[in-house]
Amino acid sequence: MMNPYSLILSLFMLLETKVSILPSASLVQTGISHLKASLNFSPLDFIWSFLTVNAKPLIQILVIPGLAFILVFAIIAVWFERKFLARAMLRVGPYYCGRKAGVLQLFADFLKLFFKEIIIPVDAERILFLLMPILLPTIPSLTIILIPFASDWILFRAGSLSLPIFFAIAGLAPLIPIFSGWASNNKYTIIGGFRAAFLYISAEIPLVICAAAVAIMAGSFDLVGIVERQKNIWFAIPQILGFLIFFIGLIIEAERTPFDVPTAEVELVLGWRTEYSGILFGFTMMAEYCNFLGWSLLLITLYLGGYNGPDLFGNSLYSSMFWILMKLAILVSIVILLRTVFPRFRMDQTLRLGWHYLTPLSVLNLFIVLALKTWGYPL
Amino acid sequence: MTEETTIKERIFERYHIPMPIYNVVEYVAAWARKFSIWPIHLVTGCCSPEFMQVSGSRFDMERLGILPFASVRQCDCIMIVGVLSRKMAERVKYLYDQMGEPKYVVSVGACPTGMGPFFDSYSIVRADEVVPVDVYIPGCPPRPEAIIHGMMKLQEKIRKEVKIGARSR
Repeated sequence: MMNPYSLILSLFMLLETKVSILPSASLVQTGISHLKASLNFSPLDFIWSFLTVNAKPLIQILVIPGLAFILVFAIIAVWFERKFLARAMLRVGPYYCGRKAGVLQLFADFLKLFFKEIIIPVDAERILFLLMPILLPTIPSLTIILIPFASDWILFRAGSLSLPIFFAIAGLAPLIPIFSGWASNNKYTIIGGFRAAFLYISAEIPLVICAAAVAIMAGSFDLVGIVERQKNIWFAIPQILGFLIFFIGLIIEAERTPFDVPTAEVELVLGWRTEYSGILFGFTMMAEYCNFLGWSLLLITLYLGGYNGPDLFGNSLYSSMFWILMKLAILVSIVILLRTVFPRFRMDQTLRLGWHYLTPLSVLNLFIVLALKTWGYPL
Repeated sequence: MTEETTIKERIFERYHIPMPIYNVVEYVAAWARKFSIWPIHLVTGCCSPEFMQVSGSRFDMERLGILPFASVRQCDCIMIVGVLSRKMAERVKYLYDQMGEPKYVVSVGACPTGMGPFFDSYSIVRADEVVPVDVYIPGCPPRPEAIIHGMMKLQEKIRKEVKIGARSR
């Protein structure tokens, strides 16, 4: 995390630049100059030292797994999805925007949404209506900080609390469709919001039980510890049942197409995001992919060996990042392939899948893991 | 008649942002708008099989970045496909009012363009009696190539109206 002293020092630096302009405040100035002599810094030096001392957390916040990674993932995933879908339907997909294969298509879409008018309905609850699209991408992005991208490349090292914290943050997500649906004050948005809540509840319980089974097998709640225990064999192999349940639960949580009941285009216009126009709609779309990213990274960490993999570049950091990103790319393309293959489930079918099949099977998986553990499987 | 200014122009005037930057912003916005037209289709008649084919595998409209969409709020363009009765015309107006501002209307087929075979009917209206139409695509029904040609004309129009400053709202 960021060094608190450097934050205080940067505030102090701002104060200093303001005060030194004023000639009358001589007392303050002498104090400041005294401090300046003792600490011996100029603003440029200070900024340079701030950047070099905090280089690692800054890169983690801004590049990977921080802002740039999430944005680039959303852009590439949406472009790849449109192109892949088009190829599956024997079409070409985005083609003319950009030099090659419509690579600039998503930038055009984003810019257009940015320059488009934002309509706030008269009946809407203004503050909640405007606040929710900002909260939407934030909560899934917060879950990503707990994922280890290498053994020493974690933004927020929560230790043995990291798996519970992940589920605690992800558990906030169902509130937002309900609130935004209610704030829009439209019957389609309210129905969509409640459908989203039903779906999250039906998916979250099997997900938690499966994660508990993984924690029992690894013997710790620490995500790094769980990954380290998968050096020899991925947990997807002894717990194939749990892996499949987690995979289906991930698709339900991310509202991807076989289970995109809350935003069903034919039944509800666009579900709980019907009333959002312009860049607010862009935020809701980005949030969907952020959510997807967070859950698929958790799936990779729990079942597919996380950052483990053969050392390729002679550098453990680069090769672990390469492996986790490769696994992510393959998982994302499989989920997109499912979108091309399957039609949408009905609301009651999805709930029956969640309650009648996934929850009992996840409990069965838990018993299997306990049996393996008592027979001394992972020694 | 007073000269109308856009909200963007007013913002740029108020904060004394120089004109070249305004032009660049407008140019970029027009480029983005040109390549991401999201149309909503109001299909009332038998031009619809031709219209379905436009987003199908042989005449792929998504090559131009045109993505058919289900909800009005996020769309940029209404495609009126088929005959417009007086009762349906109200709905067209309603749809047009629900869309966000850079918005365009395309009338597909002979009926919304010029009443077509129902020219002497008492209950049929042209599309431009209700909403301002940007592109007319004639034909009864128009072939998919004609519809794509019309959408390319709309793209050309979006690009040109920035150059001459035609869009004043």
